[in-house]
Amino acid sequence: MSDPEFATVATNSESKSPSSGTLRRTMFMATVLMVLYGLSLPSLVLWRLLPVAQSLENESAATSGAFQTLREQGEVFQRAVTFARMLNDKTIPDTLDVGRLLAEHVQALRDAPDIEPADIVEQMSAVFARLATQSDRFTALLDEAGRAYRLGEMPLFRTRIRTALDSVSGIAQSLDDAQRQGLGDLLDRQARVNQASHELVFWTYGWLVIGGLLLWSLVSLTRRRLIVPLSGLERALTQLSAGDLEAHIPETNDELGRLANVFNRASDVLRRRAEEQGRFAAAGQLLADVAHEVNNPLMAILGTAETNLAGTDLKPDTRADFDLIREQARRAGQLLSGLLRFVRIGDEPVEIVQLSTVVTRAIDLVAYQFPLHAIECVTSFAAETSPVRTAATRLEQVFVNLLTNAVQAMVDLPGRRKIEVRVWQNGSWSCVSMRDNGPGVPTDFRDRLFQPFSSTKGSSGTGLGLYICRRIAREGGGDLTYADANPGAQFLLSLPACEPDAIPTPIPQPRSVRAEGGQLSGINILIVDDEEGVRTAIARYLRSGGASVREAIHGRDALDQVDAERPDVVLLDLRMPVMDGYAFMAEVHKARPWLESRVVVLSGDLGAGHTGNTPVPPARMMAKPVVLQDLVKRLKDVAAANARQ
Amino acid sequence: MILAHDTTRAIAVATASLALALACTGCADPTPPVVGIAMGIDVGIAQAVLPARQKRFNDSVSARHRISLRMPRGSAEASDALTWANELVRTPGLVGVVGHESSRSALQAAPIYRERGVVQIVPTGTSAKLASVSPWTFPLVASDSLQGKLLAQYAVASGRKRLTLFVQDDEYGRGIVTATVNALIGTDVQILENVMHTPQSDYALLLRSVLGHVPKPDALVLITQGHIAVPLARLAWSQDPTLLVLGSDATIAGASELRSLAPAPDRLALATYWLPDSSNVATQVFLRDFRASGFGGEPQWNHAALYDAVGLLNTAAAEVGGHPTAVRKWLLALGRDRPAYQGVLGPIDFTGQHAVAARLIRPSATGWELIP
Repeated sequence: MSDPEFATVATNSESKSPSSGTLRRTMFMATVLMVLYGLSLPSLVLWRLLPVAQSLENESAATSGAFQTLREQGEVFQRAVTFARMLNDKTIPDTLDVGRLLAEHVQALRDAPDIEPADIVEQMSAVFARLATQSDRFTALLDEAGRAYRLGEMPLFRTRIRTALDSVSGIAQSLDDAQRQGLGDLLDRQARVNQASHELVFWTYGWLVIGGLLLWSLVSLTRRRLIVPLSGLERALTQLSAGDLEAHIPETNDELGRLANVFNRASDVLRRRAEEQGRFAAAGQLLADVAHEVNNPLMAILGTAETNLAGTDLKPDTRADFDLIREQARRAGQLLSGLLRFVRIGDEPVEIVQLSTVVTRAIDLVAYQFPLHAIECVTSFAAETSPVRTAATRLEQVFVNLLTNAVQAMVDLPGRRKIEVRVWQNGSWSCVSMRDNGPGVPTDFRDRLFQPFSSTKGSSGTGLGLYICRRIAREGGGDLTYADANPGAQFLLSLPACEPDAIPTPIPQPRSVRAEGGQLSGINILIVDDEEGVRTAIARYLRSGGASVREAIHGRDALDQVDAERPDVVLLDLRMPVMDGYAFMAEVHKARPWLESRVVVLSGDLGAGHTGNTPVPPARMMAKPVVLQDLVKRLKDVAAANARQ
Repeated sequence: MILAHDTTRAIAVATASLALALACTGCADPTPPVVGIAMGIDVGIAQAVLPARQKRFNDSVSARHRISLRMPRGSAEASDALTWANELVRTPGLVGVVGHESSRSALQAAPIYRERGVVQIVPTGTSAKLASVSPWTFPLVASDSLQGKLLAQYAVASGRKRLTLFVQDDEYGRGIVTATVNALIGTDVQILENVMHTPQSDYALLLRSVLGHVPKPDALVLITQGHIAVPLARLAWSQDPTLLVLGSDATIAGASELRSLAPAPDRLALATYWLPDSSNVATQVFLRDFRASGFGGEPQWNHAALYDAVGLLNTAAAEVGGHPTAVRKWLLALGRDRPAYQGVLGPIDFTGQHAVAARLIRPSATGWELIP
């Protein structure tokens, strides 16, 4: 269905699917690696430093809170101890209410803030526990002393005071222990912070080194896997766009490698296409040469036939034979003319034409195939259709393509084979449909029907025909679509109809004149043609019309004759030995400008509608084979125009 | 395809590694789980009652889940408590610790368990500080603020006007005192004195001082340990038989003696977190174990609490393994994602919504009865 070469490309691309995603996977892995790398240092900080910092913060706050409470307790304790010592030393005045004062100290000791258990870190718990017990014991002893004092039990009072004072040294020792442990705890935490900081510095350096290596690896990887292949692809595309179809990219085993593979295969296909195009162009040139060579004998045949038909003494049977010869020669000429036109498509001018005219010319070109394949071609042209503005020859190519496709589709069709061509007007659109009763386009191919390099003809098709046809239709503002004809295929081309104002007034066609006696009387005509048959046939006809005719076999000969005697009209062939038509016109332009307007070109090189760089204006150019009556009219007009000057 | 192939290979390798790791884990001799018991003077009841319960538990689980108990010997002194804590946290396979006996020792040991990430279930401590001292500490019963309110309300209801509080000088005692004083604000009950004592105090002197107060108290609130409460009550009743003695939950250890000393049933009321309820299956098992242990006397709430605390750690280890973090999560899930633990004390969880509450009991003809 599709172009086999491109199908191969696709197949090969698919066959590499097991390795698909290599580049994507590499890039994904690189991204993951970079993300992991990016997260590693913050994670390390969170993992190593944050717990230590939090621990430091929490424990420091707890420890400082505990020591603050301890300081407040200590002040109350110190006052109570001082009072107890005074009692023990009996330095208290008798007037004081010792029992009440002791009770107040006891209450103050008990009201002093407690160290919150939650504030005690593990290392300090033992010493704080001991301190709490000792402090409670001291308070209880003072309480008991006070109670004994109030009960009047003085020995017991003194015993309790002494015992309480004895316990003070233990409490002082515990306080020292607490402070020492607090300091040790602080130093321990500081050491942990220092250790964590050193680790962090070490890991940061490591992280930076690893980052450098990763960056280098990433740059290297990117260069190797992305930049280099992309540069190669860019270079190859530049080469290709510059016309170098030998461009080739090294293939790797990843996505870009597969892209390179597709590119290489595509450039191979393009190279083969270019070679085919070259052959096609050469064939066109060959056809032009052949046409020229065939047109001259045709001209001779046609001229001879017309010369004889111009005579009045022919028998009816002989006249009929010459009529047949003339018609067949004309037909052969038209066919050649059409072929030349077809192969010389270039920058065709946009003109206003009737679709039916273009369709008819296309049918004429392919009509020879109809009887070969027993195809019946039926045309239906609406009487009233608006012309369209288009490049007629390119449009003709579209119809030739469609007709050729239809013929090829029906070659193997048993039974009746029929092509229906219809031209009609649909509102502001001029439409053409071409319908055959062949097998039609396969359903699964319809989506790709107008895509380039899509063909149902296998290796014999370029896959570009319908793509170009649609492009031509769309360039003209219309479209080319496909419809199922059931059975068969139907293509519908529509183009916008010309506005009535845009249609030029038709120029009245010159009436065909017969070369009657005296029609060319007094006109001196120089025929310049290397083909003797052509010269002779035309000369005989023109002389029969009363012209004075001379003959030259090439441009140099013609210049000599012109210099010897000025002609009224020069009938000039283009392709000749010694001096061709172009060189002749150059000499005329240089040294004999009066002669330029008297030259009519008649050449087998000119296809109908050819508008290349011509040596004379198109109005004075005629293509072989020409109807001699038309030639006479043209020569007469040129002679008359020059006579007026 | 390659990606898929690689992924499959990676999964296969990971699975094999995991299987190997699991196999090695299974082959290795796992450290047997251990529950630490740090209960000071209650270690006797622990040693008597808990082995039977532990044997029954270990018989019901696989060999890997069998749990042994570790009970350091010592006194109720705080320094001992810390020594035990430091010793227990170094025990391989430690699931958690049940202890310590008093609020103070439990609070003092809490930082050690917090630092080492060891679950601490406090069966008998009632200080409100236990609930916030550490995320690893789980007090089993409600805080003393409720108990203080209960004691105050009973004093008011019984028509007493002058109270003397005899209080153990630690977090437990101070907590209940604060709650009791607060509950009496606005009533016509007067607090004559708040007598704080330590284990080394001269109780006779203190009591002489209390009873020598003018006016005399008509109710004595004993917020102290049972072995201290008994001589105090004896002495107090010997001097004033009309005196109402109210005991906090810590006095429950001397409940039998106090009942025998009480001049009349209406002179004694004790706070407790448990009374035997024969309809409770857990209680039936506990009573059976208690009687079988030969420990003697009547089972009290602190015995039941110790029994439940060990039961909690046993069940947690059996369900989620012995890792302390998993055990802690299991305990926190009780009453939330998991149903409350059905213990001897009743349904237990640590949501704060269904804490085991204190109640007052008084002597009856057959033993003890709840005071409505």
